Amino acid sequence: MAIVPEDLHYTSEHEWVRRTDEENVVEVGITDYAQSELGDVVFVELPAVGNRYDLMQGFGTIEAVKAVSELYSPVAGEVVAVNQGLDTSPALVNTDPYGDGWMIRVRVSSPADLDQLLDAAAYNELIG
Amino acid sequence: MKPLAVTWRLIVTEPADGALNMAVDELLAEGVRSGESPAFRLYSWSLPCLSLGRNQPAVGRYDVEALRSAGIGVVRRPTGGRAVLHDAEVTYSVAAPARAWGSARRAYRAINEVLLEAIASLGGAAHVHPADQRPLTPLSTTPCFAEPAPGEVVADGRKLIGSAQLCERGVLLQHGSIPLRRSRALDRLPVELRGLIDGRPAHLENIVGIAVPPERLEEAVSSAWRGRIGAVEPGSLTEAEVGRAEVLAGRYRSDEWTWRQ
Repeated sequence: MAIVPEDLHYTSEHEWVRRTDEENVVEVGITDYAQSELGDVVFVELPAVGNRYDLMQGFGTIEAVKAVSELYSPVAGEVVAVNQGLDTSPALVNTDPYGDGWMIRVRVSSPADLDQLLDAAAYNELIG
Repeated sequence: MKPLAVTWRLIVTEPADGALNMAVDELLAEGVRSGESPAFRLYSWSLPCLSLGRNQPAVGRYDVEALRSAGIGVVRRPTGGRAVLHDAEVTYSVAAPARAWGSARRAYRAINEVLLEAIASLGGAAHVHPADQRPLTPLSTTPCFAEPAPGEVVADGRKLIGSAQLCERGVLLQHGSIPLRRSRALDRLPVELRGLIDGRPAHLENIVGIAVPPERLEEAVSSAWRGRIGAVEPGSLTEAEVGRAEVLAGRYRSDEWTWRQ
């Protein structure tokens, strides 16, 4: 049974979004369900700080054994931090998807995007 | 389970170089994204070619001059995984909506079942490598064929088919190599480089016991595809698609892409 924390927001592409203490800055990663479907993660390609993305635009890729998948930005905005730890330890996405396996922090350009995300109940329903 | 109630395009292309082969696979995925039928393609290589996995380290790891002298090209795939030497083989690719099988891993399994059936119809005994608990080896220059991953087709203790995937904007691209016999190009390489690019696949002719002409394997795979996945409509690329593939090949010919890491 995949873990779906109550306090996060989600997309149908299996990303999670967490509000941070800094106004309009959110943290983004992929869900426990996603990492378990992907299998062992061997590489995460993340963007440079300062890059800007539209809603659901690809911001990077993740490679599990043999399979590369695109990562989509759940909000429009500017990348203000990336998790450098994934360069050397991509498996953190498997072992701690909601913690040390976070991917990017984004300064949201349109806070209304956050209202369009799924809550935990809706995401649980999506993954059945 | 037949994943889509549609007729698949069956495309068999002429031997091409690495860049054009990768470009045609990308083109077929692009087509599915814009509403074309899903495609199943069979192809080969006009010259031996080392294909690198999208994210594997490569800069400074291979003696490019020695490869060139041996007549072996280099291309970086859009898909994951590790290096494969393509030579005496049949290569397949599948471009379909990502939802077709529900997940990339289920697609991998379903496509491998087709390939297993094709190999069995030729008299070869192969099976799917089971999941194991070994610690994962990180991406490296270890050749693709040197280590079977769970779900891959193996025979006689060696990997028989090496496959890789890309899931991008709702479309799954999977392609893979079915080596028929050992590449003679390896004999033109220094020993250390030979070890770096040859994962010592099982080779179909060893599994079946006789040399298998590529056309026979292509027919066996197409037939298994029709039985397990769905109807196919044999066809070829349109003139516009050929032109588009030439454009897409630009990326695969560039050092910026090939030697990106």
